[in-house]
Amino acid sequence: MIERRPGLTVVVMVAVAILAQTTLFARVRLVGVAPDLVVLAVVIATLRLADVPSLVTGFVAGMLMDALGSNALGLRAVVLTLVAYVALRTRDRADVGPLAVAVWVAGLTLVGVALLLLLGTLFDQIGLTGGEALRRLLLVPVLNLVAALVVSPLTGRMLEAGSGRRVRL
Amino acid sequence: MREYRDTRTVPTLVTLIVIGFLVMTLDIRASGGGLTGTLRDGTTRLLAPVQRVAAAIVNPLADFMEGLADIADLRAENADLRSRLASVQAELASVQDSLERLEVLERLNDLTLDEADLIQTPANVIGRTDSFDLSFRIDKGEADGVLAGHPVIDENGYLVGRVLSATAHGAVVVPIVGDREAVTVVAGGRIGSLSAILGSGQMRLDVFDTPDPMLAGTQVVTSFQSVSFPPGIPVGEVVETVKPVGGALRATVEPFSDLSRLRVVVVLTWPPDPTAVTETPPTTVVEDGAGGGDGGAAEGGDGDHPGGGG
Repeated sequence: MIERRPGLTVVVMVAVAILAQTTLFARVRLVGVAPDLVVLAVVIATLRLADVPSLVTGFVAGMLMDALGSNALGLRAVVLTLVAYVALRTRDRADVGPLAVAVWVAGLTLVGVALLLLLGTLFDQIGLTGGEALRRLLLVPVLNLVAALVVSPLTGRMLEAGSGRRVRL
Repeated sequence: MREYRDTRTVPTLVTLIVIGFLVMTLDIRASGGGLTGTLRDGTTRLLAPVQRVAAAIVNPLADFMEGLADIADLRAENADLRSRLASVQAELASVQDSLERLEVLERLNDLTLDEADLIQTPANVIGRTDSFDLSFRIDKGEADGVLAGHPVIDENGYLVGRVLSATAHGAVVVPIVGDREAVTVVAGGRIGSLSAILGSGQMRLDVFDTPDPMLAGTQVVTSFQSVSFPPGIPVGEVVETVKPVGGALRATVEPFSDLSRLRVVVVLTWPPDPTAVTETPPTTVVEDGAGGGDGGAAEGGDGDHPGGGG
C-alpha cells in the first residue's frame, strides 16, 4: 500500500532540489550542462507518494522552476506533471535496487528533457537547436543517472524514516 | 507489488495539464504581465531571500569545485593573457594618441560631448534555472532602481544582456546570447546588427552596404544608434575574417563576457532618468563620458529590433 499522506520529507527534498538546482548547479556545470535535480526529486517522490500527490508535486515543482526562470509559466509544470505520470506508471519495475532506480531516473529525465525541448520549441520558449539541443538531451540524463546513484541511498533512508516503511532505492 | 490504483489519477493529470497550458498561454499573451505576472512576481518575492541565503552557502563550495576544474586551464590562460596584454598595451598607445587628437578637434570645433550620469547598480547573480534557460536571477530589483530593459554589464565592463523583468528585490536578466532581440553595434567603423545564434554561445553580425571585409579580431561595441544600450560598451570580437557578398557581410562574433563565470554584474540605468537619480537609492554613481547624445537615434536604428533568429 502506498503512503497516501504527502510527506514533509518529499516537500523538503523537492525544495532542496530546487535550491541546489538554481544556486549550486547554476555555477557548477560539466561542459555547460548541469543535472536536473528537480526531475530527479519528482521522480523519486513518486516512489513514496500516492498518484495524485505525485502529480501535484510535479506540477508545483515545475511551476516554481518556471517562476524562477524566464520561460513561460507552466512550461516545466506540464513537463514535470507528465514525467511524474510516466514515473507512476513505471515505478513498479524500477523498485528493485539503486542501479535500477538510477537507470529509471535517467530514462525519465530523457523523457522530460525531450518534452521540454518539444514544448519549448512549439511555444517558442527554448532557443536550442541542432547539435546543442542533442548534446543536452543526452548529457542531462547521464548526469542525472550519476546523481541518482549518489543521492538515492540517502533519499531512500529519508523516505523510510518519513513513512515508517521500507523504500527500496 | 502495489495493489493501490487511484481512479483520480487520469482526471488529475488532465486537469493539471490543461491548467499548465492555460497558464502558459496566458503568460505568453500577457508578455509577463497580468495575472501570471503577479503570480511570478509573488513567487520570486517569496523565494528570492531563500535563494540568496542558499547562494551564499553554496558559493564557497562552487568556488572550490570551479577552482579544481580550472587548475588545468590556468597555465594556458596565463600565457594567452600575457600575449593579449602586450597587444592591448600597443592598442592603448594608439588610442591615447587618438584621444589627444579628438580633444584638439573638439576644441577647434567648440564641441562638448553630452555627458550623462549613469547609475550603476552592482548585483550578485543568485540563480539560474536549468541547462535550457540561459537567463539568470540577480539580487537587485525595483527597490534598487533596477527596471526591465536596463542594460547589464559584467565587472570588466563587457555587455552581458538586459533586465527582462524586475520585482522589488530581484530581477531576471536575459543575456545577449540568449536574447531574441538584436543589438545595434559598431564593428570596424561600420554599423551592424548583432543577433544571437541561439544555443551556440556565439552571435551573428550582419553589416550591409560594405565593400570591405571584416577582419578577424575586430572589436564589436554598442552603437550610438542603439536606444537600449549606451554607446561604446564592448560586446565581443569577430571570430574569423569575412568578405562581403553583394555588399553585405555576415560574421560570427564571440562575446567577451563569460556567462558561466558570472557572479557579479552591473545594471546600468539607461536611458538616464533624472527622476530616478533622486528617487532610487543608487549604490554607485559614475560619470560616463560616452553616454547620452543619441536621442534622435530612436527613430533610426533601434538596438532592440527582432533578431535574425538562430
